Amino acid sequence: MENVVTLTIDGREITVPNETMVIEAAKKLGIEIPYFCYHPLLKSVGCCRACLVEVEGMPKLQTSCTLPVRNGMVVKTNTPLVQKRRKGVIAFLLANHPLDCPVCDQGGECDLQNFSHRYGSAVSGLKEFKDQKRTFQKYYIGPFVEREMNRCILCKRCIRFYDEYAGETTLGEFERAADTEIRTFYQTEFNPGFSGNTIFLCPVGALTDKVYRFKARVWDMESVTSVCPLCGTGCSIRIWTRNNRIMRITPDMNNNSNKGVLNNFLCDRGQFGFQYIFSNERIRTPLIKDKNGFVPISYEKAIDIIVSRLKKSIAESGVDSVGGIVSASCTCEEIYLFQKLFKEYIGSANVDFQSRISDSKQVNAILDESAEYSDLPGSGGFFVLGTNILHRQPVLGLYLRNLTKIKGYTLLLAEPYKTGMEDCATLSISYTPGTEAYLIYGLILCMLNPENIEEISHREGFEKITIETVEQATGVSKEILQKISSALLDKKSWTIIIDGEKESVLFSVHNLIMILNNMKKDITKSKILPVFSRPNHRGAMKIIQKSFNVRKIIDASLSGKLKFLYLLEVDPVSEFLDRKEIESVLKNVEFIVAQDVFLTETSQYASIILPGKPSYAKQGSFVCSGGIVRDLQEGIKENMESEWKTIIRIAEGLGYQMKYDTIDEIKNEMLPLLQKKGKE
Amino acid sequence: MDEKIILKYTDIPEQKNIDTYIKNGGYKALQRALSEYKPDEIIHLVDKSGLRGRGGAGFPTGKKWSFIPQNIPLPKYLVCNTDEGEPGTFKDREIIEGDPHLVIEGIAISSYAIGAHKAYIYIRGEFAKGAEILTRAINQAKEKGFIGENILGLGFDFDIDVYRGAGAYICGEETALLDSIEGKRAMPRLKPPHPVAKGLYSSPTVINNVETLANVPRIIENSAEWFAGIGTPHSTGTKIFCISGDVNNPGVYEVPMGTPLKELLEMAGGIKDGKKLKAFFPGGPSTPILTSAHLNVGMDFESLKKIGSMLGSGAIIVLDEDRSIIKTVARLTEFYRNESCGKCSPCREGTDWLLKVYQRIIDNKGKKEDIDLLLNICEDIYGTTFCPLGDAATMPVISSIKYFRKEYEEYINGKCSNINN
Ligand SMILES: Cc1cc2nc3c(=O)[nH]c(=O)nc-3n(C[C@H](O)[C@H](O)[C@H](O)COP(=O)(O)O)c2cc1C
Ligand code: SF4
Ligand code: SF4
Ligand code: SF4
Ligand code: FES
Repeated sequence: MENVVTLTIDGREITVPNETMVIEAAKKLGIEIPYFCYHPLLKSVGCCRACLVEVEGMPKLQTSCTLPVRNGMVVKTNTPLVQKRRKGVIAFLLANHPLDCPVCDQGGECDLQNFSHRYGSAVSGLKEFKDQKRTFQKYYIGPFVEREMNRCILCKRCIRFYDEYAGETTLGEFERAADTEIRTFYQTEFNPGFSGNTIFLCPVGALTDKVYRFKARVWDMESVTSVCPLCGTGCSIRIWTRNNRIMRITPDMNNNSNKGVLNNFLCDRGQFGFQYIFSNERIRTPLIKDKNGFVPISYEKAIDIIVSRLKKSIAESGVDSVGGIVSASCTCEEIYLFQKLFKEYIGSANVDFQSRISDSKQVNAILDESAEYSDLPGSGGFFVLGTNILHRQPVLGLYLRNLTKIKGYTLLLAEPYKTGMEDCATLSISYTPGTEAYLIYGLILCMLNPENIEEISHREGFEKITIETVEQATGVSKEILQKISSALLDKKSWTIIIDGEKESVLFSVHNLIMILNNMKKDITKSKILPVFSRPNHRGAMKIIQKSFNVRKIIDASLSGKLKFLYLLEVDPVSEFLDRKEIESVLKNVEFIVAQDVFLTETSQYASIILPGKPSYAKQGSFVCSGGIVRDLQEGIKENMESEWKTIIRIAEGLGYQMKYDTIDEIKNEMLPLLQKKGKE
Repeated sequence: MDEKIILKYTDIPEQKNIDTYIKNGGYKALQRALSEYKPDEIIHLVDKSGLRGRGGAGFPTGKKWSFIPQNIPLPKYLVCNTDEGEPGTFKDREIIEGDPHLVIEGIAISSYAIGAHKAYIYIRGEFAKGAEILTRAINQAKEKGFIGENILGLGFDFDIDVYRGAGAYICGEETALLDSIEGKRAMPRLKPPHPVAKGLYSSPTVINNVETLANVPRIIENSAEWFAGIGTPHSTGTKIFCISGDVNNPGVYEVPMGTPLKELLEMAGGIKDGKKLKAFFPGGPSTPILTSAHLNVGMDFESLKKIGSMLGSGAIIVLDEDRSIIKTVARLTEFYRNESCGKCSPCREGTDWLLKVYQRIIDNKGKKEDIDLLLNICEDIYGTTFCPLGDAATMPVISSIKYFRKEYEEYINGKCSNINN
């Protein structure tokens, strides 16, 4: 093969792709080379010099993190010279290091500590200048990261992260030589958004987690891998606990085999947002409304009342007088049981999730062909349209920033407002908010001869659209539309990233993609990547099929037909578009069960409130925006009853036997629903 | 002594003026280069002349130019390195201030040779006068049509910018210099890619020292053979030495390569106050120190290499018999300690450590193990750093201990006679 090379490291042969660095090839052989500045997610700079190796035919030692493999190369990682120089480098790094390990939060996961134990014997001369170690002034760099510059070894991973990913010129080196210091410009705070990543990138205790500060030592904690519930990206997280309390959440570096993971970074929301679970405003016991407001009742009693109200409504007004809305933040297993209760057992069509409008069949058909995260590097370019990606799915935005800015992928950006991706875009335009469908139609018009348009202009409301109408509606000129459309017709495949919750946009872009793929038959297919605010939108969409939709539920209640409504972790008052309407809906329903982690704006309309668990305390699965099923693990145990068990209890009260003892049993039954069309 | 090549006219104050420069034969070489030679013929000529870089490393200039890829659709750049940061070096300033048009002409011819239409003169920030003189000279050259579009009607477009440096020794290192021009903090870049492949703004770039480029018009004016006939077989042409320290007449002296040190010292009026020579740095502190035993060494690349030192930038720093080696090297170590760019750990931390040990010795708290500690630190710096600055920092330390270990021991024992110098 042409793209691989074979080399020898410490007498063992290995064949690797030709852009591999020697340090990576060695790792594949299980040979450890110490390193500080190298990081698999960052470009190599070769500044710490810890990874020196001997290479036959090269007079000087080479840094293996910057040395690309070559055919026939003979590398030795452990000669006496290498050992000696390595010790020297580690001694240099320790020379000005405070060695305050006992009070350092990095203790136990410090590369300097670990590698110096393994490779470096402390040089005697080191201790002699103890009182002359350099010190730096402290200052506040924001709520999440603590900066202790005295411990910095100047590997520059933090700076490189901002340069290569987050993008803002937040961090820089100041002064020179041994006085060099990493600082924010003008001593401002870190720009929030992604600052937490510097904590796990920093190999020493120079940048540490302020939230976790002094709370625990690594060896005192347990950890599990789970999925971040705070947006549709589905980042892998590691939940660290002590005495059943979450101490911190970190990226999960060991999970890079999983196709559902973009890279191993997190956003600050995902890394620090978990603290809401400690809030005093959490609901801890069931509550019932009486004359004086909400009062606690027992769980048993609450279930009894719920069951009897359900029975009553069904008996008096029929099965369609009861219904439920579930959140797209719930797990697939919860959603599955929820819809099963209403649809299969009770026979009501009134079950749906969140604020969906359209029929799921059509949407699912489109989404089944959408891009997976693993498709993204193979995509020729990205067209981000009306999603505010850095806000909606921050790590997806971060990933794209790196692909476009550092790795040279093309980015076209169309957003009504500035979103912070502009600096990565080859072309960035703005348009009148809400006119995405027009914009896309305009692009289609530019791509096709007028004769062909007939075929695709069957969609309601689009019959009389000309390029002038598009210009007028969107505020985007014909020239720009032509520029984008000719870019899209370029000889490469595109990933078009859009708001997956706006179904009109989804349909329009689907048309656009079909046309593109038709016109570029010889090229890898262009695909959609939908963006979602909720972690399990795609799962919910798949599981709750063939239903009536939320609109119908609303109509039913407006006309007084709906008597009983179960709201599972959904807060329609603050989440649904038409607040006035939803308030009158809720007032119209006789009996509402609202289950949630917090009291919400919707709670006041409930007759009974049940406590819900945060995702960190759940087992189950999400389908991320890339369409991959991701598994959640219970990081902590909370003593209220699980949502899934509550649903089973209610079903049992109605006389239906739901025979599940574990989440896995539910999952196995539910999984076929998640199957993509044509991918069985 | 032979005729001077580069400092031939620098004593004439009016030489800065383009009319005087032209009267003295200036810009004829440019005219000739553009009209009589193809670019690759000039490269060949310079190669044949044996001209080697005067910035420190002595890389053959023609060979460097020949590495510039000609068949790629990127602009090419020439950068004239006028950072002159090596302590004791002050020759480039002399050339720039005394004969700016010679440098401009050299840059123009060299740019033509490598296919660059834009050149930068990266001048040390402190050289305010030099920058002013150069800027004026460039404007004059533009007026006369030596710079601009279609120079001399011979179809070559060419422009020069003067870029004032950001004030650090590392700015003289060629890749850090490129970052500095690009508006970044000057720090050496990873090589490969070398600047000839990917330099300024990611385009092929040649970086040459002022003195190197100033030789180019002379080679065109005379001939490659003429140039190769001066100096020694492998170090051709002349070299400007900057003699400083304990001599009667410190200053710049242009002599043929290979001239013995002894002759140069005589030209500089001998050691001050009739004292004896103790030691000297032949090419700035980045080159290993030599002693009075080396008085007869020929000052050229090979001869100095043979005795374990280097020609470097040609800055001869002279120490008389009463100078303290320890204090001298401590002061130089402080220079490297402060000028390390901070990028790589061995240089950044190693130089800091070296200085701490020197400080301890000077404070009379030195231990006899300190000498070996210094050597151990140097051993771990040498060959492990990102750029040559780290290596350079070890040169004065290692070489001074090699020749003056006894003085170190005496100093530490409190028995040193010249402790105060
Ligand atoms: C730390 C350091 C400082 C340097 N400073 C200078 C300088 O001030 N002037 C210079 O011409 N070259 C300097 N150099 C050498 C340049 O990197 C480069 O080799 C030289 O400019 C090439 O020109 P030449 O081929 O004409 O010698 C320095 C090198 C290093 C490592
Ligand atoms: S703060 Fe940490 S990550 Fe940043 S340079 Fe220092 S050691 Fe490296
Ligand atoms: S991008 Fe989304 S899933 Fe990833 S860490 Fe941030 S909030 Fe969590
Ligand atoms: S050796 Fe390293 S620290 Fe020193 S100047 Fe070069 S790159 Fe900077
Ligand atoms: S890991 Fe290679 S130089 Fe730092």
